[in-house]
Amino acid sequence: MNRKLWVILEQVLIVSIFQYIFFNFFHLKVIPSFFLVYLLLLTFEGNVEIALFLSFILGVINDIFSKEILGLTSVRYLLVIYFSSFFVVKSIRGKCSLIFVFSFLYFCMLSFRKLDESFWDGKTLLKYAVLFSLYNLLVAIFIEILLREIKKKWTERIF
Amino acid sequence: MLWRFRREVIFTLMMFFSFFIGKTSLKSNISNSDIKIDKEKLLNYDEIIQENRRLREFLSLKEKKILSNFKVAEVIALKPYIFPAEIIIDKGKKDGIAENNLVLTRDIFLIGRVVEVNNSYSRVISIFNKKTKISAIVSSTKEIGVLEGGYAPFLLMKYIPYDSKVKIGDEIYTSGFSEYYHSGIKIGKIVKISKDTNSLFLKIFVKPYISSYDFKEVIICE
Repeated sequence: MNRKLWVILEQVLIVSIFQYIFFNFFHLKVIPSFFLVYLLLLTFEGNVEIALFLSFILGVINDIFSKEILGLTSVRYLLVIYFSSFFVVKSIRGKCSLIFVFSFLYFCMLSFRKLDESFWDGKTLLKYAVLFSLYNLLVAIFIEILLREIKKKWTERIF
Repeated sequence: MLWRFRREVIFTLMMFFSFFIGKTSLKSNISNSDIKIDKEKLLNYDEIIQENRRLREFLSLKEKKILSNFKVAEVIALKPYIFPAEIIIDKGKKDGIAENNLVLTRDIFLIGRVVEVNNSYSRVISIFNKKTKISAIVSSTKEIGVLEGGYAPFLLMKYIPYDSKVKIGDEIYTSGFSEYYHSGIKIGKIVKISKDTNSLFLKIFVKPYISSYDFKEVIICE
């Protein structure tokens, strides 16, 4: 249990660093969500309770980064993670396709406010949602490799 | 039983926390922005009220027939900011401003004269400018001297005889013996008189009536 906690802490830290770098130094139109991908991967591995708990924590961190109303992203993460927890997938292909779908849904949820304020029309929203999902797909492959490496490192370590 | 629904329990708990944090943060955001808006409103109102008061004073000049033919211009730049030697106003050729027009405060104190006119703005040299030389008269003795700039915050009055009866507090007006300035425009009052034994004239320092408050809207007249 103790080891699992350390593994998760290290993973969260690394994912947060990546998210922070992307938020501040990459001026992309759509920024991929490392947090969302990480939470989805955790959920698909069966760590639903931890993923739900982390959804709240990472949501708050995300809101601090993006200067949003605190708790707003937590609600979105929680909803996505809760619904994704009904799917149990083990294959990379399955994970990737679900990450694409949930990222798309998350982006649509995220942009409801913008659509409401008539900043974006439906076509633009669709375009950016697909772009966001594709970015997240790439991030998912990267994080999956990273998580495996971290796990491997902690398995080899002797306390 | 509860363990079976642990996912739902955690989800509900986390949702509750998220809404709670969201509500608290929203409340503090709203109260902060309200305070900001209120402060901005107050500052704007103050500025508008003051501007309105100044413009009313300009209007009263026409009503009281103190000045009949004049234009009001807004100062858009001061060089330097304190005791400016040069002023840029927002009226130019298209507004009927011409070279050597006089620039006055709303209390009809002399500021300077227009030296350069562009289509939409003009350049004014003030009495503080060292190029300024004005023929001026002392109110009490009616002696005429030359008032020079370049001694900010004062002006230097030259060519008043050594044995003159001028005293501190005497008012200085334009004499009218000048190409540019009409007679009787108030400039300032004497604050210091120094006697130089090697000179036939007194060295008189004059404090102008104009203050930094006057460099907002100015009167332009021929």
